[in-house]
Amino acid sequence: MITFEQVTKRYGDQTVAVDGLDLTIASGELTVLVGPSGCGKTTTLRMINRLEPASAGRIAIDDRAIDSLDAMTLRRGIGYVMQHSGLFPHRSVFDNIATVPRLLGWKKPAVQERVHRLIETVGLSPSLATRYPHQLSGGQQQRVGVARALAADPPILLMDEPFAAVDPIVRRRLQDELLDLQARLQKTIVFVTHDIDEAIRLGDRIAIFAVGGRLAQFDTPRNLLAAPADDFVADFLGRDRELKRLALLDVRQAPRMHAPPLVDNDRAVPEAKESTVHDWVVVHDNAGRLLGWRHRGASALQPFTDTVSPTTALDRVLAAALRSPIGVVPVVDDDGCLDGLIGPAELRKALA
Amino acid sequence: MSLVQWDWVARHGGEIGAQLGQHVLLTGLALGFGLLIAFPLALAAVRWPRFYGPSLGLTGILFTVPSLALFILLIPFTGLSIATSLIGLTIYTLLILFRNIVEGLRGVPADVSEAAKALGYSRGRRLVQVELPIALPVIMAGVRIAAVTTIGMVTVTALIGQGGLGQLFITGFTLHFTTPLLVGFVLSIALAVSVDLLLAGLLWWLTPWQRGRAT
Ligand SMILES: Nc1ncnc2c1ncn2[C@@H]1O[C@H](COP(=O)(O)OP(=O)(O)O)[C@@H](O)[C@H]1O
Ligand SMILES: [Mg+2]
Repeated sequence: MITFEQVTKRYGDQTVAVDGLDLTIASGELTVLVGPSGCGKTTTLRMINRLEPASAGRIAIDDRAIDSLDAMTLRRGIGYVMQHSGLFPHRSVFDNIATVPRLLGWKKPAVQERVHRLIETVGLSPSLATRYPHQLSGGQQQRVGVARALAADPPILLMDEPFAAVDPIVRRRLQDELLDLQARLQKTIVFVTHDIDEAIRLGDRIAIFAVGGRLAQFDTPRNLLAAPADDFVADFLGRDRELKRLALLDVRQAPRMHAPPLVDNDRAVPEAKESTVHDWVVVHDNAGRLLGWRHRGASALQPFTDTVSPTTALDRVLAAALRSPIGVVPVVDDDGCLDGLIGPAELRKALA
Repeated sequence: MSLVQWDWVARHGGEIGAQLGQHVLLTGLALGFGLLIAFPLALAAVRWPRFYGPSLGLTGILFTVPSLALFILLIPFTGLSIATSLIGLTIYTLLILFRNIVEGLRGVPADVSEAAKALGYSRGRRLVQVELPIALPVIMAGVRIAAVTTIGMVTVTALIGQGGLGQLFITGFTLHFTTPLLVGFVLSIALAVSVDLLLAGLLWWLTPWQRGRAT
């Protein structure tokens, strides 16, 4: 647990980079600091490992004030990853990753084993171990940066816009890998970004900073999107924040269409008994398996191009509903059975 | 009469060897002292940038003093001794070495130094294990220039009685005899070229990460 109590950071007399910050970062969670450029995210991060001294207030890790520790000891116990990997250009991938274990005086075999394990952990090919940083792609460099930060198995990992300099496709993959890694390692990660989408994708909790180093809101992504504290936060989350909320929910959290016009293909139903509210019906067999849809009264059965499963995210459901010729999508469970229909009205209820 | 009288060369082989040896020694000592003085100055200049301008100015002025004039200025204090030539030579290496060490260290990318700090390096270890190796190509470039310059300058010190290959020139001029002139000329050039190549090779050996990389 990392706690900030009334922490302020001034540069010179003019700039207040962080202003009276109170923040508790829970252990084992991925906490994202997000906000517009210059709002003090990096400064906040760098105060944790004392790369910047705080001007006022108290910062503690597990209730121990960080000033009570020797700065170098403190830093060796905290992983640090930055935007341009900051890799040592004169050292091979292996030696870069081995940096902190060697500083800590680990024995050679232990270092070797650890480095090889980490190369695998971050998804690098072992053949890259002898390369120098300039012989790697941007994505590979960032992976080495992460491996180097994790080398001595520190409980805390600080990451300052680590994926900002790689292209969007690689970024997405690195984000997924980080989530994977975190699911396995359960580190206390503090992650800085200016990209709200990245924050929502990665964060267990998100701290939104406003210019002037003021903490505007600190909550889970869902709560932030559901109830932004003020106009600044709402604005920062974006006009499409309902879509972002949908992305965080899945089909299990949405209601199904009330009284859907369903027809069992194996039982003849007189046309008169068919719903008059909709001009279409969804057809299944007597085992409940989805067959398709047809116009009311017609006999030609049409297949659905999209179906969704109980774990599909609701933003995808919305897209599928918009594509569907009947405006709703069928939910099909793992056994292929129809589990109701969802359309825009149900998605609205899911957000309510 | 041939241009080079080989029998003269053969008869004076021992002498020529000794002069070459002294030339190498003077060059090596001047470079060694130069590095020893330039290094702390450069570290100070990197740490306190305000110190850099004046230091650069001062060493620059020293560099522009004609070498012979400098040696003559020193004679009242140190006489016609090896100290005079060494002091003079060392002063000439200073500007080049100082400037290149400073530029080399300044060229270390900020995020690399920052990363070293964040990973828990002490200041001293960071300098030795991270910053100096990265600065080495620029520093070595300075050492090479300083070495070649000094090898040329050592010739001049013969005029204040401190041997080196310059003695051969004096002999040649006083005797109106081309052989020692040519021998001195060829040897000093050969020395400069081989020292330069040697230092280039040393850099290549010390910086495996630079190999095959366009610079
Ligand atoms: N070393 C520094 N010296 C002076 N001002 C700084 C320094 N570092 C950051 N600042 C200022 O502090 C404010 C916050 O910076 P920073 O923490 O880097 O913001 P962010 O990471 O959110 O973009 C900015 O106004 C920035 O200009
Ligand atoms: Mg920043």
